[in-house]
Amino acid sequence: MELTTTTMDQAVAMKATGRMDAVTAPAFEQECLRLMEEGNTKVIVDLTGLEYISSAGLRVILGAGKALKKEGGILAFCGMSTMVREVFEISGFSTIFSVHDSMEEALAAI
Amino acid sequence: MPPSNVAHAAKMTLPAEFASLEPLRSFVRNCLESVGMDPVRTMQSDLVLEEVFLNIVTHAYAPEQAGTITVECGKRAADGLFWVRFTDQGRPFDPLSAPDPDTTLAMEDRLEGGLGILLTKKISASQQYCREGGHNILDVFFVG
Repeated sequence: MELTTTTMDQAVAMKATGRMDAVTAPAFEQECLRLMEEGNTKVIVDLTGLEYISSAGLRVILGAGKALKKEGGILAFCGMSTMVREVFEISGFSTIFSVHDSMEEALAAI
Repeated sequence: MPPSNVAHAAKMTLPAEFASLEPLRSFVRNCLESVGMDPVRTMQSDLVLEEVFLNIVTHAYAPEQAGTITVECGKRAADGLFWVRFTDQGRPFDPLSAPDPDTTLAMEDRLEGGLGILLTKKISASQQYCREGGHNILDVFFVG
């Protein structure tokens, strides 16, 4: 999985590409921790290029979401593939997280 | 024995340790594609493989106990379903009997974990567990 972050006025945009599984999920956790240490509290993750996610990915997403919320921030998502959307829906993550079709919509919503 | 009428069943046994995940993942994907599974659908068997594998590696054996995981797969002729079987010699454990996590709770009340078996159940067509001769055997079937 590749993670690239871009700092914008309202939030940090993080683009995740590839697979978020038991092997790669810790990298997402570390990147979120790094962003929080820098004082960022609003993170939008662009999942357009993420083709696969497992419960190991959900675990680190939930941890990051809780940590950001505690700081008064938010973790939001946009651009899900069919597989990722299905996993989010089964696990109830579609309702506990702010999920949008595009980065523009996500930016407008947070 | 595999379920009746499973064509081209293949089998791989590796140590129940984290490093075995990728070899088993490749093995199952190649096997199911070779018996006709749509490569797009192998994402589902990939997910189940990872979830069940991690469950066995994490819970089946005591920390000091070396164990193995055997994965078999193929296609059932009777109904065209694709089949993956997981076998371990760990403590008796039926993952299908564990209660599903409550997915309606608010974020702060959600626990980190417990979603792997829920995903396994929801993303596959059917599942069956049995304990036989000191082995945990979990069969998972997929629409291809």
